[in-house]
Amino acid sequence: MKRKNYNRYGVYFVIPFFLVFLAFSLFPIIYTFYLSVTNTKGFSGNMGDFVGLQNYLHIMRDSAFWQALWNTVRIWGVNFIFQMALALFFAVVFTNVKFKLKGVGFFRTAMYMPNLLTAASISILAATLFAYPTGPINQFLVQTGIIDETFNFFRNEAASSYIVSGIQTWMWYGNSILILMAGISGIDTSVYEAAMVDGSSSWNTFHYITIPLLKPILIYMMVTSLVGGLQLFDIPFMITDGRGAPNESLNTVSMLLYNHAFTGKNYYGYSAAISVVLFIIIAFCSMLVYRSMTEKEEG
Amino acid sequence: MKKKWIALFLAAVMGTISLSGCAGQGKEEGDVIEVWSFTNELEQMLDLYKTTHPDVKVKFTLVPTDVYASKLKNAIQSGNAPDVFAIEEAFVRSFVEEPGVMADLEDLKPDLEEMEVLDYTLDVGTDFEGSLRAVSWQAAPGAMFYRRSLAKEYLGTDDPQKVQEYFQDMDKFMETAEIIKQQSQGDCYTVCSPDDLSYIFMSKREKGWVQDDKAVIDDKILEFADFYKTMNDKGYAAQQAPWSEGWFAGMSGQLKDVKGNPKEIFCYFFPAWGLFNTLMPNAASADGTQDTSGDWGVIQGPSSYYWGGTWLGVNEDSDNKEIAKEMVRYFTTDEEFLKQWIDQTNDYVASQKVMDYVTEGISNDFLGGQNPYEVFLADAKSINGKLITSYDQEMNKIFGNEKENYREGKCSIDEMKDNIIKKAKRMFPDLK
Repeated sequence: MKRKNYNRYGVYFVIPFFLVFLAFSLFPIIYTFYLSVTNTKGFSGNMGDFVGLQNYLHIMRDSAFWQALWNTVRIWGVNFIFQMALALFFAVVFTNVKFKLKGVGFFRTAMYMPNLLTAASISILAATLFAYPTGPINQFLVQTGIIDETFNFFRNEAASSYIVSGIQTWMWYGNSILILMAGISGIDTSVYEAAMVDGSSSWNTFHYITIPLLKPILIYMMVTSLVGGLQLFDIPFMITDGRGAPNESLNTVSMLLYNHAFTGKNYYGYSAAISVVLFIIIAFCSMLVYRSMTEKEEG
Repeated sequence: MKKKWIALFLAAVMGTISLSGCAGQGKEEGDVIEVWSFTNELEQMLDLYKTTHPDVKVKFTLVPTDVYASKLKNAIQSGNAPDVFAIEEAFVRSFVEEPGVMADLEDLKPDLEEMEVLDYTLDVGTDFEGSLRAVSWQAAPGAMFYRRSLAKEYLGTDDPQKVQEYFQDMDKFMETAEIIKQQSQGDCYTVCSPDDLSYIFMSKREKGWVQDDKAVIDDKILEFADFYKTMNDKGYAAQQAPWSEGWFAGMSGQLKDVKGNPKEIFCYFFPAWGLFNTLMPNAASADGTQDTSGDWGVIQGPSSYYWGGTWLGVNEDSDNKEIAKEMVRYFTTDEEFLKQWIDQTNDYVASQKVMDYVTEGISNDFLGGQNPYEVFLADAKSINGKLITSYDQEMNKIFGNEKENYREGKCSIDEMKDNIIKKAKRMFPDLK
């Protein structure tokens, strides 16, 4: 029986995407690589000269870059730990058949809502809440006697960093809960029943059954969180002075990139080089995580 | 068959909607002059412009200050820049110095000379090759504004001449700050933040932030860091940063400390534009219960100084350059306009000819009937425009961070100096 071959229609429908991708994504990416080997600066639109790997060598020696990289990893790391811990806890509790929790749908929605807010609004809100000396948090802490003198959150590197990580956690844990709940629902209930019959405690069930079976989801979440976290820009930029105050402890790599390109003397070439290095770092880390997943499967 | 047509129609609609993002600002036909600014001062000025130039179509866009420089730079790069744009002191040099961006305003020079426009405004707008790229309609000499009722209570007088004696130099200023603190038992702070006086120190520098490609830390900057630390340590300042909520609250007498106790602020430092743009509108509380209007007095304070200012430039790639230049010429040198502007706002215009002519007999009710120009006139002629550099915006931010470290005792004054230079070199690799 002859079947009409519809394959070419697939190609036709995908061509528009590729054209748009080429124009708006691929070309800028290649242009960035090109910029990174020039010393373009200033905003009058003049292209700089070709300077080879000079920008990259400069990055290697630039203490601001390494500081920014450490800041980014630190902020992301703290965020990730708390985000995963909270999300796992809630996902397990919400999907637990034994508890028969009411209002799971409501809580799920409520916990997801922070993700819908814009980073700019949240940053301004946080900056106002933690303001020194008379922001609401300070007023509360002093008036209830928890501390004697107002505390300047945004002059303390650790406090600022934790606030940013905290905001990130608050924004994204809802998203993680949804994904984990979907993952847990995908686990065959007969496994849990078998575990219950064998008398396994809640913790053991969690540790030996849920986590191993969730591994692909957890790896996926780790990679996406890594990619997003290493590019963190909006919250630390808006929450203090846009340069990573205090003492550049909130400076992330994306902020450094932005400030070099769009403020000061507009060093587009150097900034492009930073973005290429960031790309390489993220690609490398993602590859590591992916490798570890596939190795474990084979093993 | 019908489904196919519906599908095609929907696809076309989606395509059109997605292309709407490419709209951009096409160059319109006719004489539509696009004007950008970061405050609505220019909008008020344009209202006056429209009365004398009814045939010119003008489109005004307000872009917030903190993103103004980046947006304008992007617009220039993509060819969508406005015909006339305002630039603030903080980043005026970075535009003036960039080749090929701002049109040469050589044609305006005869008028500027005839109206005796202050030299420093022209210095700031002149690039390194000596071409005039930006001009300003205003000058920004600064003064000190004090609350008369508080002066009467804590100093025993509210007469400007007598109050000036209490604040005639920095040493007397500190002494009087102590008096205020004692007399009010801590309920009244002299200033919201020592940063209010930063312009006094910055104006008296000998060199700007960068000279000959080297970062320069003038002695006045170190003096200011010390002053900042002392004022805060001794409790003369309310620790409310400029432009914060508390800083505005102090203007209408509504500042409260962290425990909810009301605190008063004795004085603020503003240039001419600050008086009508910032202090006067905020002297009345939002709900109308408190209004400090009429309770203010103006004196020179410990030193003359200048703060900020707005310059106007014409886009080099503008299609309507002649009309745009004419607009700039109008704002900076047209006698009728400048007089009307002074009537409306009590601004300080850069044209000395107009200032000398107009400012007799002005009585400002907000200041209890005082004439603010008497103080401003004295300051304006000593302003050094060469202190402004294209590195200012970044250097001020770096300095702001390091001076906090010094104030918190995390480093010595020499370490602060080294840190500023180190960070400047990191931000601007071209600096030596």
